[in-house]
Amino acid sequence: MDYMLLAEIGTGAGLAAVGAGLAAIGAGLGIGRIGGQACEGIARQPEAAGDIRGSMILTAALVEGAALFGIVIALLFWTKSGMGGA
Amino acid sequence: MPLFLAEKSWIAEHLLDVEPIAGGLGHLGISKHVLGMFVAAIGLILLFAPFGRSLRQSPIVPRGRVTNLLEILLIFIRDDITRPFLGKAGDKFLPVIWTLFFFVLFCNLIGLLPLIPPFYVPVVGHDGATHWSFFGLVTPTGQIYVTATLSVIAGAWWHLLGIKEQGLVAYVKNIVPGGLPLWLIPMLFVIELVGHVIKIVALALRLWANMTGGHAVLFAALGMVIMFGHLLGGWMTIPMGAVSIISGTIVYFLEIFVAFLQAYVFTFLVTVFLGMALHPDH
Repeated sequence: MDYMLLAEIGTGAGLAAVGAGLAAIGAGLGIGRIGGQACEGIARQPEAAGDIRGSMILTAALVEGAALFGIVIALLFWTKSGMGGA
Repeated sequence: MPLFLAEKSWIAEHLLDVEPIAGGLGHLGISKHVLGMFVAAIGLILLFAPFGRSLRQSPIVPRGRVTNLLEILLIFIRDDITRPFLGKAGDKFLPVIWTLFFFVLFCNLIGLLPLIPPFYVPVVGHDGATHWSFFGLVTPTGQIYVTATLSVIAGAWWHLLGIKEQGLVAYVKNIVPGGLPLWLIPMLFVIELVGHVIKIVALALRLWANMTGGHAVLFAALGMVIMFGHLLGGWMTIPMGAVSIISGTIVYFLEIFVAFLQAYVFTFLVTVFLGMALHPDH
């Protein structure tokens, strides 16, 4: 087998995986912060718990959208490397 | 080492492949995704037509269990999404927003139906041969073209409504915030236009990435049996089977939640952008 080709394919797919992991770090930081502030808000004002919970889930979905843009780029480059794809 | 390359990414094949249905208008290419959209549309009609009929008989208080269940969802959308952003006058946009929400919801949920043996459809494979393929586990919104179409239609809808509401000249003037020095206006105009396009693209991309990513994780969890079963003889198959089924089930529940949540987020953002187009607050 052509080892230079394997090395190139592996590098491409591996860097795509690193990119996906970095996007997951971004999502974790953002959503963790949202959850923490939401819990603080509920602790301060328990009667607003329903409103705060709704806002928290909505904002978490939006932040997750941003992280998923990074995943989409990683998916694109993984399929374009030789390792996989449709 | 060649083992993993030889498997040739069955995850990506399941996620990104589109195969046309045999006999379905030939190369016009009705795929399983389009079939899923038709099923979602027919399901919507079947679900809501009796609702409308029963509302005509008892106009204020709906009767019947399904009607009351649907009413909860519809009123939730009206009171929490439409009224805060569009006011009571925005009630005339409610049919479109309700349809958008339920269509996206049904399309998302169709992708979660497991393999249902009676529902096989004949599918033309890549080599041109016809083979039977199962109908379940194909998300219509898991194709970027479907979500892009929904997003472009919604985008055209709110832009046209904004132009109709304010008039073309006032709409173009309102793209840029007021009170700016003259030399800043051309640059900010271009930036705001790009922002408009990016909003539409982001809507499509967010819905597609959530659906496809969820299914990718599900396939990876379920595929752990195959990938790890090859190693070390075959004895790891049973323990890995238990692990993969449990984690697959947990991811499945998460997928159901994400289906509802992404339909809600899509509808919410369309309503917010519609409100911004009708009444620009800058």
